[in-house]
Formats: sequence, C-alpha cells, structure tokens
Amino acid sequence: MLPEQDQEVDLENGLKHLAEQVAREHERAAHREQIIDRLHAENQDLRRGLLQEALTPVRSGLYRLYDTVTREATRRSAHDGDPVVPLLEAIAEEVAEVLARTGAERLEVAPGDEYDPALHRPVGTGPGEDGRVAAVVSDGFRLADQDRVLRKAGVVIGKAPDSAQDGAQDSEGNI
Amino acid sequence: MAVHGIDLGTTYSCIASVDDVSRPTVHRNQEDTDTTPSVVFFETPENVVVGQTAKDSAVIEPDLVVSRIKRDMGHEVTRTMHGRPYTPEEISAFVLRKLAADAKTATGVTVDDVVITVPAYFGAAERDATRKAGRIAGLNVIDIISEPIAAAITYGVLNPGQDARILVYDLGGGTFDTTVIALSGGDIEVVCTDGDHELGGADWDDRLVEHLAERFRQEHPDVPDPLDDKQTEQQLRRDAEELKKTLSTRTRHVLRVMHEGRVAKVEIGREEFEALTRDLLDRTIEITRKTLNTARGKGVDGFDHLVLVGGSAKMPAVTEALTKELGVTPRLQDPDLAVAKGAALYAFEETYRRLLSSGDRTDQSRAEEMAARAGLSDGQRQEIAGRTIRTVASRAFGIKATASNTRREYVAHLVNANDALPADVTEGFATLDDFQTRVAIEVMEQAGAVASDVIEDNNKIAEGDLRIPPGKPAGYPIEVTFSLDASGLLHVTAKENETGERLELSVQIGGMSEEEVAESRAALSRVQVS
Repeated sequence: MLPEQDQEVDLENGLKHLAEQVAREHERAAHREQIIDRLHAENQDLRRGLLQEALTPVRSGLYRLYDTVTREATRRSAHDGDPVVPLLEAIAEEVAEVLARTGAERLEVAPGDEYDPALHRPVGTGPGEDGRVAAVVSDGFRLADQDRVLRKAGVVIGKAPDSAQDGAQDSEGNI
Repeated sequence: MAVHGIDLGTTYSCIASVDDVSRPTVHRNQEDTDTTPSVVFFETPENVVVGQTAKDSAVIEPDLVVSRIKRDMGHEVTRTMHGRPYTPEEISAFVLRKLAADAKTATGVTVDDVVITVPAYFGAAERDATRKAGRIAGLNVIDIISEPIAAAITYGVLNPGQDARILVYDLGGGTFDTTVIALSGGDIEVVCTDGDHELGGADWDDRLVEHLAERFRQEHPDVPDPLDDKQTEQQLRRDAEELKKTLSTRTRHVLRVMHEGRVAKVEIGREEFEALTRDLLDRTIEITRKTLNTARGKGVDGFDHLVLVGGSAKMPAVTEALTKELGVTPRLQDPDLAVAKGAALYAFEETYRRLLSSGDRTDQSRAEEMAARAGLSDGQRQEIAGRTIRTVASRAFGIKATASNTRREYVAHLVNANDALPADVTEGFATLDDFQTRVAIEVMEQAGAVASDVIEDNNKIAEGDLRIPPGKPAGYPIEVTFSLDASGLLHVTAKENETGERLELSVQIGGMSEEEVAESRAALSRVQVS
C-alpha cells in the first residue's frame, strides 16, 4: 500500500469515527430536549399540585374541627331544646364554608345510599338494608374542580340479619 | 424496554422503574399514593380489590379480606374464598397485579420484567414462592434480591472496587429488621440479619393514643373511657399519627382531646414523646448491637455506612439514638421508598448487563437502546457494564447422609454459607447396604444462624428417591449435584452412572409445582383486579 493511500484510509476512519461521535452527541442532545419539555410540563403540573399540597395540613385541621363540632352537636341534640346545638351547628356550617373556599366540597351522602367504595369508608356494620348506608358517621369531601375525593365519608353499612344462619335454624326447627 | 423493581412488603408495597434521566422513580397508584396497602379483598369470585379500599372493606367483610400474606410465603397454608382455596403465592400475585396495572395506567408502559425484593432472612422456599407469585401475576421475574441490598443500592454505597461494610436499620410500620452487608472484591454478602417482626411504627402510635386517653381519664374520671368509643378512638389514632409527624419538625404541640362534651388539653413535647417510647427504641438499638456482635463473630468488625430504611426511621429520635449509641451519623433519604428504588436500579443494570453479554446482535442493540433511553453517557455505560454485583449463599445446603462406620445420620454440606453464587457443586456418595434398591435423597437447608451437620439444626426442604439397579453391593456410587442460582433457588440432581437413572429436584417446600403455577396463572387471569 502506498503511503498516500495509507493516509487516506486513516483520514477516512477518522472521519467515520467523528461522524459516529457527532451522531451520538446529537442523539443525546435530542434526548435532553425531550426531557426539558417534559420537565417543563411537569413543573407546571407541580405548581398546581403544590398549591393543593400546601392546603392539605390546613384542611386536615379543618376536618378535625368540623368533625368535633358536628359530633358534639349530635350528642347534645339528644336533650331537647339544648340552646348550644344551633350554635354548634352554625359553627360546623361555617367551617364547611371555609373548606369549600379551599375547593373542598361536602359529599352528598345520606342513609339509604348504595354502598360505593369510591365515596364511602365503612367504619362498621349495623342493622339496615343490606349493602346500603345505614348511618353517616363523618362527612366526606371532594375537590370540586378535579372531581377527586379528598376524604371519603365514614359510614355504617347495613347488614341484614344473617340469612344463611336463619335458614339453618329453620331447617333445624323443621326436623 | 422498561424493567421494574417491586418492594412486596408485609403491610405496604411499592413499584418503581428507572426513568429517562437514569433515576429511579416510584409510580403512584390510582389512589395517588406512593405505596399500596398489601391487602386483598375477595369481593366476588370474579373480582378482587387490592389496596386502601380492600383495607377499608375489612370492616364489613372481614372474612373476605387477607392482609400480611407475606408471613405465609413458603408455607403450605391456603385461605378459602368463595369456595376456592388460594395459596399465599396466588394472594401475593393479586398484589403484584394491582401494582403492575396501576404502574401501566400511570406511565402507559406495560410491566413485564421485574425484580422483587424479599427480607434477608427469607430462605430458598420463601424466595421461590415469591418468584412464583410473580409468575402467576403474569410477570417475568428476572431476579429476587434481599431488601437491605436493594436499599444499599439506592443509597449508593455498593460500589464495586470499593470494599465496604454496611449496616441497614429498617423500621417499618409493623416490622423491624437489621442487617450487616459486606461488599468485598465485588461480592455482596449478607453477613447476618436479625430483627423483631412484631415491632414497628404502629407501636409508637399505640403509645401516643394510650397517653392521650390517659390524660383525658385523669382530668375527667366521671365520663366513660374515650377508648371505649369507636369514633373518639379513631380520632385519637389520627391525632397520634399527625402528632408523630408534627413532632418530627416541631418540638412542642398542643392537642385537645374532646369526648362526651369534655375537653382535656394535652401539651406534649418531643422529649416527652421520646420518653414514652424510649423502651421501643432501646429494643431496636439492642437488636442492632446484637447483629453487630454476630457480624464481629463472623469476622466483620464494625461498619462504614449506616443506612436507614422504613417510614418509621424518619422519627428524629432514631437518628439521634443511633448517632449517640454507635457514633456514626446515619444516612436518611426517602426511607420508605428506598427498597423499591434499589430494586428498580438493580433490575435496570442487570438487564443491561445480560443483554450486553448475551453475544446476540439484537440483544446488544436492545442494550444500546435501553441506555439511550435512560440518557446514559458512554462513560456511564462502561461503568454499568463493568459493575458485577455477585451474591453469596445465605445458608448452607446439603443432603442427609449416614456414616458407614457409626451409622450416625448427619448433613453433608454441598453448598456452604458465603459460597459465591451461582454455585454448582457435585459430590460422590455411596449406598450403605448390599442390594439396596433405592436411595432416599433428602435435601437439607441450614435452619439456625450457623451451619451445623446435626440433623435437628437443619430443615428438610425437598426429598425424592433414586432407583438403584438390582444386585449391587454396598458402596455403589451415586453422584449428587447442587446448583444454587443467585436468587437462592436450588436445583438438585442425583444420578447413578450405570443405567443413567436420574432424580431431579427443584426446591419447593410446601410450595406450588410448575404445573400448578401455570394453571393458576391461567385461572386467575380471568379474575378482575382493581
């Protein structure tokens, strides 16, 4: 092989190597661009999410206050004409108002509703129609503009007296 | 190609993968939380619910809800739901399916190849059961690794070429584990592990609840006990959890316990909280010391890194106590997600290495594609390719043998604890009596902390019979081969050379056979998991 040819081959190899390296760098740069795009989009979401996140401790404090006042009002309403009851109920309503202003609205849950694990957190079972809400123990809240449940309503689920057991007793009686 | 790491926990589970900036990322579930309760609710024969909703459902259908199934892994126990018996592998498979399905919803990527973590004390049977749970869930389990090793990977303290001794302190919601890992010459070894599986963050909460209730009782002895009222008790539980978090950042907090129209104002400071739970923390320190002593007995004197794992390790008292008692400042970052993240990192690197070294052109280009997608530079690629984390056997394995002169039965070890994995060992044995027609092969696994050839110190994990041709005198040779792979799965082959008669055993103590796994995978794929 002549020296000139040798040089040419070297040059060619060098160029090929360089082209490969440039292609790789290019690929990585394109990749970075994509990531920046995504980070940017995520950052936007995060800002919105952060606002919600910042409200979480405030809301949990308000839930606690709301629960406490509501429970006390319910307990006192057992005695007729307790003048404190309307006052406590008013305070609970005010707290619910403040919560609504943070975006947390009360879930409409009432006895007789069909049990829905997305809205209800069962706290126990009690006499009532099978598979339906027998009593609401604590209210639930949802984030209105995202249609997301923030806190499920605490409910007692109705459970008819065990029919299978009844059947067994019946047949035993027949024998 | 996305590979995932899964922390399949006793109370909570978590899934992660390596993202496009080569960082491990945890995928949130559909309920928007990082971790999913490992609770399974068999709503109907066709529909299974996993996670928080399943946990809530325990109140209404306690008999159809299964939790803490991890404790049964590797044991032959089933739970019958709607008339069908379910093995622990199958129940765990439902948890895995929920994690995989939610990760797919979050990222749009189907979960296929996974690495699942198990506690360091899990033996071959439990590891095998975990692998089968993954298979039943329709996943390709590329490896099973120990939780403390995964955590150490996340903390970046397992760098080959840099020998290190690592102490892992893992305080979860309901369990406590402490492990010493040694990395030497690229080999990772679990030196020893200890713990208390009835001790966890929940005990700290209980103490707070009891304290708050007691303060109320003292102030209002004339009203019923607040803990007898379900609603007040739940409120106190929530308060205790909040209080624990608050006291991690603030030093004092005032709480009002309200019950039956009465109020007790309770002011509690960090010091008081720590005094209330001092004995719990002391128990973890004591176990940690014991573990370090055991390690010392095995020649590992001291440690270079102390890493904290588990949500409850976030309590400032843990760091303070460990710093004071051991004289080392522990590392703490996202302790509740460290195991899943480490599994994801390991899954990624291991897959890359396997593809690269397969010698197949398409596999190699897949490896390149994987690296490009994670945005790895040439330097990083070389580093990963050169990093081989080898594991060692955690226990000794052998077969039951009888000494020909004394007729004493003992365990002849083929694989010893700390042997590098994968291990392939063949040893020759011989028949004991003239005209023996069969040889009972009983595979034994070390049960205690140290290897022992006494039968009682070992567990029988598999057995089978090898036929011997008729008319052979005592001393007729047979050959036994143990092959133990890196995840601790054991295959045993026994053979005699004249007729080529072979006996093959795969370890599955009380576990499911390969056929059962395949059947259950097909049967359960018809069950909806949400």
